[in-house]
Order: sequence, then C-alpha cells, then structure tokens
Amino acid sequence: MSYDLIFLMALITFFMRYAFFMEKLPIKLDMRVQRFLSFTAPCILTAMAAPIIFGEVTFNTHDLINPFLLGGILAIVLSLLVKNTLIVVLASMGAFFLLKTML
Amino acid sequence: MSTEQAQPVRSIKLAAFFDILPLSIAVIPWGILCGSLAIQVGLSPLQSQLMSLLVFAGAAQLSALTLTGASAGIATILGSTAVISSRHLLYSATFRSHAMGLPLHHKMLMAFLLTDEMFAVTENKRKELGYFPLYYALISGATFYAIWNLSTLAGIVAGTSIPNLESLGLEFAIAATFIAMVVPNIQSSPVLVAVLVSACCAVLFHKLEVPNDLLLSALVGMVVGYCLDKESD
Repeated sequence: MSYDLIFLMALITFFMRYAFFMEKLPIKLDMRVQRFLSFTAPCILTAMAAPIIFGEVTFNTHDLINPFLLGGILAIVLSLLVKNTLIVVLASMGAFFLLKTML
Repeated sequence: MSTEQAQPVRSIKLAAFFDILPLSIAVIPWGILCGSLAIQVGLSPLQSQLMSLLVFAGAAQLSALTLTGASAGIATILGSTAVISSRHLLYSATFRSHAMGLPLHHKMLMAFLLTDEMFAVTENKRKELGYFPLYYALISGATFYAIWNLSTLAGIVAGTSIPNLESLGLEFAIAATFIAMVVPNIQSSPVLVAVLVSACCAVLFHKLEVPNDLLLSALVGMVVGYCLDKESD
C-alpha cells in the first residue's frame, strides 16, 4: 500500500464527515428533516449490532449455546436495569467470553 | 466567566471523557488488530500508524487492509472505503445545524473526530442537555482518537503475533457497547419501532448479502420511525 492510497482514503473518510458542515451547501434541513435525522443514532447503531447478535439465530436448540445471542440478550436486559454503560459492556463481555469457552 | 458557569463546563468535559471510555475500551482489540494486520500485509510501521492517524475509521481500515492482503486494486480499496464510511454522511447531516456558524477550525476538527462512537455519545448528551455540546463532542472524539491510535501502535509493535480475528469474537464487544448506547435511550414508541425495524432489516439484509445493507436497514428504520412520530402529533 502506498502513501498516496492512505491519503486518498483519509480524504474520502474526511469528506463523508465534513460534507454537511459546508456552509455553501444549498440544502436547508428543516424541522421535518431534523426529526427524521434524530433517528440516525439509534437506527444505525442497531443496524451495526443486530447482525452480530442475531446473525446466526437458527430458532432451534442451537440458539441455546450461541454466545453472541446469549451475551447480546444479557446486554439488552442489563441496559434496561443499569444505566452505567461501562458496567453493561464489561459484564456482557465477561459473560460472552465465559460462554464462549464453556459452550 | 463566573465559577458557577465554569463548573458545569468542566463537568461536561469530564463527562465526555468518561462517557466515551467504555466505547474506547471496546475498540482497543480492533486497534491492535488494525496495527498488526497492517504489518502483516506489508505496510511499513509508519504507514500503519499514519492510517489510524489520518483515516481514523476502523471498519474502513480493516477492509482496506484485508483487500490489500488479497492484492486488490486501488479502485476496489477506495470504493470499499467510500461505501463503508458513507454512514458518516448521516452523522454529518444530523450535526449540520449545530456546525453552521462555527469557526472553520472547529468544524474541521469536529468532522475529523466524527466517529460512530463520538456521534453516539454526543447525540445522547445533546438530547439530555437540550443543546449541542461542542466541547463534549471534541473531547470525546479526541479521547477516542488517542485510544484508537495507541492501540494501533500496540498492534504494530506486536506485529504478526496476533491470533486470527474470527476465533476471538471481538465483534461482540462492539455490539455490546452499541446496545448499551441505544437501549436506555429508547423513550418513545416511534424510536422503539424504528430500532426493531432496523434490527430485523439488518439481520435479513445481512443474510441475503444485500449491498450497503447497513445504511439501507438504518434508513428503513428511520423512515418508519419518522412516519410514526408524525402520526402521533
């Protein structure tokens, strides 16, 4: 890989992040668009997490020994009970690796 | 500025650091992997670190390195970078109204640091506070940047002695942090339905190997959520 390629990649990722910060962009995001965009965070984070947790669901007994599924369900339940992100992350990761070595 | 006003600002800066910490910890193994993989596919240590310093996008970096390992062409690598990082357009659009009017250097810095993780914690904080916390965004972003680059460095130093990725299940750590970010913030039925729709679409599109499945499933959920939100008025 060349330095040029790294710079080009950097240019692409920066452009994607900066695109809508350009004042000159002839786009007016009114309240309706703002409301639509307020769903960005929950939807995109969910879309990234869901295939990891539920990607291998089989709807049979195999699900009972799937550490991704069990760990994911634990993370969801813990998130409802505890408001501390660090505790949820550490506890569910601990459970995941435990299940992974046991099952 | 009086001390009464300075205190909340300082606590917001501290909160930025501590809020992004769990998300940063979850990407440490990925940073290590990125550094190690870069060395394995033939990048120099400087190039490997530059990638994390300049590109600063885990998924795009790992994909580019895997493609390099498979001797893919430049167009393929840049194409994959564009597709994978296209979700940042949505983050950029979401923060547009808050970025307008900021000095250029703040806008550029904010854009440079705009990752999934920074976006997630800043959006949560913005909804909690009712206004956009610029310094919160910059500090959480910078914290994440520092940890990402240090873990890449660790991977470069470790070099080729890192075992393979699938056997470790590192992706679970990412999923767990995102769950912990999303679930407590589902506070209305439109958001709940939007999240469920996105989850179902994401699993389905992933199974069917639909191209650009991530962005597509997020958008379907967002449209459904928005329509329900409008109806509930």
